[in-house]
Amino acid sequence: MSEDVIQLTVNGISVSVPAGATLLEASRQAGADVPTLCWLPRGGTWASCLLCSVEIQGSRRLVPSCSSPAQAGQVVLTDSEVVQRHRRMALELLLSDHVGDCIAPCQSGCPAHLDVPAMNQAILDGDFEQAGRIVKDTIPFPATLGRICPTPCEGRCRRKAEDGALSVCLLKRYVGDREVELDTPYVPSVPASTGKRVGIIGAGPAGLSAAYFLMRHGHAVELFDDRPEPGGALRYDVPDDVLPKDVLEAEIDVIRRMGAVFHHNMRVDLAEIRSSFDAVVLAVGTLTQNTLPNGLEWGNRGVKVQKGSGQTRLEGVFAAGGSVAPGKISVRSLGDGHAVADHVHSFLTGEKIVPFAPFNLEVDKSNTTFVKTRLQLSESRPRVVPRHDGLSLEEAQQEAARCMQCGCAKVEVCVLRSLAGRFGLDAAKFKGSTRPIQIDDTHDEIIFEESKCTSCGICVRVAAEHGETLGLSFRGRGFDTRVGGPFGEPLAVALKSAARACAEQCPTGALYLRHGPRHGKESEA
Amino acid sequence: MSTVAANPYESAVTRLIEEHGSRPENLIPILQSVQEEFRFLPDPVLRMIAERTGIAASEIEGVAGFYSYFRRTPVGENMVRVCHGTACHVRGADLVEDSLRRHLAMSSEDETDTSGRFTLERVACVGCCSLAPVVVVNGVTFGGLNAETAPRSLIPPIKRVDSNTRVQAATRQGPIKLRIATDSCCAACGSVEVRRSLEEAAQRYGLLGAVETVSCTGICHQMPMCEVVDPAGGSVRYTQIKAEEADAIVRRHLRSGIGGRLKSGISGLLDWFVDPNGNEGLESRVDPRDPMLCEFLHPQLRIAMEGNGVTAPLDLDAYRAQGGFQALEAVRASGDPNAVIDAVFKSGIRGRGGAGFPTGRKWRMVRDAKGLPKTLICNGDEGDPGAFMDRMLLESFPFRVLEGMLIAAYAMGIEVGILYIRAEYPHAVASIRKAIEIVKSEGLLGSMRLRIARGAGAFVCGEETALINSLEGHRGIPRVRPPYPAEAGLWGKPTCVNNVETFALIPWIVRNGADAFAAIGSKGSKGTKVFALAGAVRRGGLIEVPMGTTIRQIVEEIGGGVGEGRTFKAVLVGGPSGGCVPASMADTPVDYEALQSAGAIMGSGGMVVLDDRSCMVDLARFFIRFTQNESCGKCTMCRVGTRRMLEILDRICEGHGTADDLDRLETLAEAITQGSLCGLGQTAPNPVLSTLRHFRSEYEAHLEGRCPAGRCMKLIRYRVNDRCIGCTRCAQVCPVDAIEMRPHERHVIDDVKCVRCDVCRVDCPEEAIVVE
Repeated sequence: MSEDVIQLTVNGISVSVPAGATLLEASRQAGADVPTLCWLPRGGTWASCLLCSVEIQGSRRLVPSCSSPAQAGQVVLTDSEVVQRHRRMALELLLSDHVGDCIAPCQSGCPAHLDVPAMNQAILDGDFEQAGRIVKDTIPFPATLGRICPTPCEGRCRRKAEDGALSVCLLKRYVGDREVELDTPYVPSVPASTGKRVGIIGAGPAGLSAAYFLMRHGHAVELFDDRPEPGGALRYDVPDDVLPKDVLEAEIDVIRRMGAVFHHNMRVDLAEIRSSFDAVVLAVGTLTQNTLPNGLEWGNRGVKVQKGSGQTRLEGVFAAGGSVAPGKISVRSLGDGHAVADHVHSFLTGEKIVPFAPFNLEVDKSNTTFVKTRLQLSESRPRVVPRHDGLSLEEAQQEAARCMQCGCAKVEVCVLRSLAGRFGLDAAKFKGSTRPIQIDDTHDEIIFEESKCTSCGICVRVAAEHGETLGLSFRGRGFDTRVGGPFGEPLAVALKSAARACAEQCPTGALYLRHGPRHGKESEA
Repeated sequence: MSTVAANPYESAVTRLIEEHGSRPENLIPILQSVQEEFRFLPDPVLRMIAERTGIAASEIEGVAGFYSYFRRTPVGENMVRVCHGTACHVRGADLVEDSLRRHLAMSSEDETDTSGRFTLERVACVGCCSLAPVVVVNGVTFGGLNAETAPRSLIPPIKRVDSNTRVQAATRQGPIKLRIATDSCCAACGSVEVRRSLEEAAQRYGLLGAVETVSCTGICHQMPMCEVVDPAGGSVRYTQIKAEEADAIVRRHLRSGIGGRLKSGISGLLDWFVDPNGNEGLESRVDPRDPMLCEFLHPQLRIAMEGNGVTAPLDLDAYRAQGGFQALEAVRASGDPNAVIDAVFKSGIRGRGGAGFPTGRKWRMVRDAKGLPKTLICNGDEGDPGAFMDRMLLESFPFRVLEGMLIAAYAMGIEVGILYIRAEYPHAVASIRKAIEIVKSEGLLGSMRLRIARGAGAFVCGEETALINSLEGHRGIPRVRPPYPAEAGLWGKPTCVNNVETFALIPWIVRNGADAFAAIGSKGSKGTKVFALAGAVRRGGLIEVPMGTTIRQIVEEIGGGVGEGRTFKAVLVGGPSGGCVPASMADTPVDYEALQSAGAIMGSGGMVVLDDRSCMVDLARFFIRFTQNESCGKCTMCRVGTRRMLEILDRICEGHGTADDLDRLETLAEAITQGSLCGLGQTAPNPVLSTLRHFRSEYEAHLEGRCPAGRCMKLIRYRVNDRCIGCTRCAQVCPVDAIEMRPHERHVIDDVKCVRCDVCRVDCPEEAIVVE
């Protein structure tokens, strides 16, 4: 005990730490990746989440590494089967008492995964540049889709049963239309060239989308289409009064400006194209067994592609949209194009692209309390009926104000979600009673969604560090332990100087900044 | 502070802070006093405490919300506390509570009835297990209730009878002695009233001072009991007596003494007493040679309870006459503290709190640890909701506990001692307080300073590090170990925490030698163990047996087995941290290792006997509900894990369980055991694991929709059989009109309306109502 340096072994690696160091510090020094949730680097022991627990050889029980002093000669295992099992269980239990949507149902329901809540917030803030970027992050032609989309997102809107779903489609169109009308519309930046070239056969929604997202990965694209102009079904099947050609043209023009090369009136041979490009995307729309290009295999309703890689039986040849399965709505083809672009990118560079929402907690539809509570975060008014074709600015903002911001404000930074994704967890392993679904939005700076609290106590400690007069405290005990202002005081009264720090350090979406980088996501801007 | 000038609480808060001090560790005593004054903790008072003391508001809120003793909302005029200890549960506490709620028109969620007259509170255990099921109304304990009789406890006026106001130093004069114990559970049986009548009668017949208040006899199943001791030799015990019989008892012994009385047998007055099973006509006079009593007492060996039923708890002379304080004086005279520790070590005594850590080793660690001042803590936060050994020892043998502490303090060189006693034990606190005064005035304390800290209702505070946090004025949350309290405990200084019973055994060890103690018991478990024997056993009470005594001896010999026509099924040992020992393993001895390998633990001494009417799944659920309620809520595994286990058990008991649920229970149990930080969490799954191990078939029956014991309400129905004579009583008492009145005909219960309250079955004179 009197020695200044302690020697121990972590995962077979010998480490020396100063006396008084914790097992967490020793483990990290040995390069072990030990997750934490309730831990604050500033020291002091709390040990609540138990995610950092490790195994000490010779001991039956696991110990929380964050609060256990390293002892000489210990043989520590941070990743043994026992530890893994324990961690999964701790996470599953935390998740079973965590009520919220990681991703808003509208966003997960949209085949293109448009971040609807973020778009609405930007509209509400009057920041249309930001709104444009958010939309164009997932939808290359919003003004176009905004006129024809059958809106699967609105079908999933939590507000639907209350007073009508949000007009997501018209809002998206509003954002798209503003872009279309600009002299210098937003053209997504393209990273440094990878030197790879991708040939895309078909310039319909799937092909255009694939081109757009491939260029955003830094690849050069050339599109080949047998018709005179790009757009496919969007141009040739949709009547002009529904989708004016200039709108479509303006949005395709952005893709052109990003660097896409279009070849028209060309019927091309797959083998030939494959031989002159690093990869090929087949996006020709509906195929029959007779029109199937040579060398490809027929699946059920179109080209057979491998699940997970989007690749056909020919190496480097991918397929998307109607050529895989016919009758897709445009937004679905668009989503397909995005997905195939990611697959091609992985094929070309070996870089793994994290699929959309590897872990997503979603509140059960039957939970009406959840919806009723969220209404508090939005304006209560019925769905706006536009007076003209499309929404006016005023109407758009009124409608955007109806958004209940269902998705989690910290979806990108939530520790619980990131670990759940990493461990490939099933959110529904344990079901049962949960914390109350309540939102405290009394504070100017921050919002507290109680049902996403993990009782980690970080905010309680942070508030105390700031010397708040009231601060935050634990209330009750056991499963019913809650966090909040003492004596039932709301956040507005309880927190003064510490509010921001509390929200920033909360490991989940329980406490978040009202006007912070919405959804904790670093915007491209 | 002009804003609070008009505050009605102003003066009280000022006074209480002055009285207790304004340091963080004074918070809990301040809050306790506030609650005693206002019957709840008004928020304005809490704010004032924060302002006046400088203790953080968040800390005050945290503490006020943590301990179940503290109430945050006003209460009704009368406090009704329904005990949900293990023994009470086994004997139908749920039915009693349902009955009270029905009577007061309260839903299962309501705390106070609409008239504001009654507030109903569920309590973990009031420590009157031998009287189960128990309800405490305004401090008055009503025992042996059932669904039908429970509402009678609410009939006004309910006056508080304080047994301690009448405690007198016993005197040993007069021709005969009338001994009566009036500790908490005896008092609950009416012993205080009986004593008063005995005193009045004694006075009438010129026997001034003949009545002696003595320590707990442990013969709880026969309370109130008076032992009449004749100076000429011989004694007789009158059991289950009533106040109005006191006169006759005294008169009977007036002239002729016991011998004469037995011969004459003139009075038939006492011959109609009722035995515990309700059979009339049993003689209430019990000779010490009575076979029943011999069976109960013979296998026992009293070390911690030495002198039980003989000496007055607060009679120092009597304690000294039994060798009391000789041990302390001897070790002090020897001037060799290390020899004391060696003796304790050699005696093999292990901590009686439950875990069984060798006491001598702990003492060595504390002695050798650096840092001053060191603190000695007597852990009287008895948590097992089916046990009351500590309460009894503190109430009946306070000097012995103090002597043990003083010896320990001397051995380890400690000068500060704290007795942490459960809030639910006011009489124990009073008894110890008085004993400390007496010991102090006799100059026995030496340089030791002793004080009492009252708990505030948190089972987890029985865990030593949680207890220490509580003493420091915080939420009772366990600390991560290491460091152990022996190295860094209270205020970061070396601290020795021992259980009440451990201390009570120390003087005997010192007086009689380590070898004498080590000669009692089994290989790894030395000496005696006190158990609170309760549940479905004929003779319940507090017993002290040598380690190594088998469960069978305890249940069958001492306890007299289970009731007529019932079969012994299992015993629950170790409370919520323990498990069950099935009847098939009844030859398991009381021994730390043997009990553990049987799937239970020694625990602190709760032993609840179960017969065929006890449902093992229901009991597993009972214990998980308990630990779940008592979890401090800090760690994920215990906070959420035990709740999920409870929900699964709820499902199973309601007939909605699936085979997967059993797997899920086992997975959760393993994870909670392995991953929890403190003893509460680590042992919480034990009752489930042990019932699954020994009674898996009962779980499986529930999955098929059957409760073999006929306990789980959702799986049973009440039916009238052909013994029904059509007396209509059931129809009259049914609270939900589920039985139509049909004079002279066999009655029928409408199963849809029936709420399974059990009232009709209890009331039926023909035993014609059965549970299926």
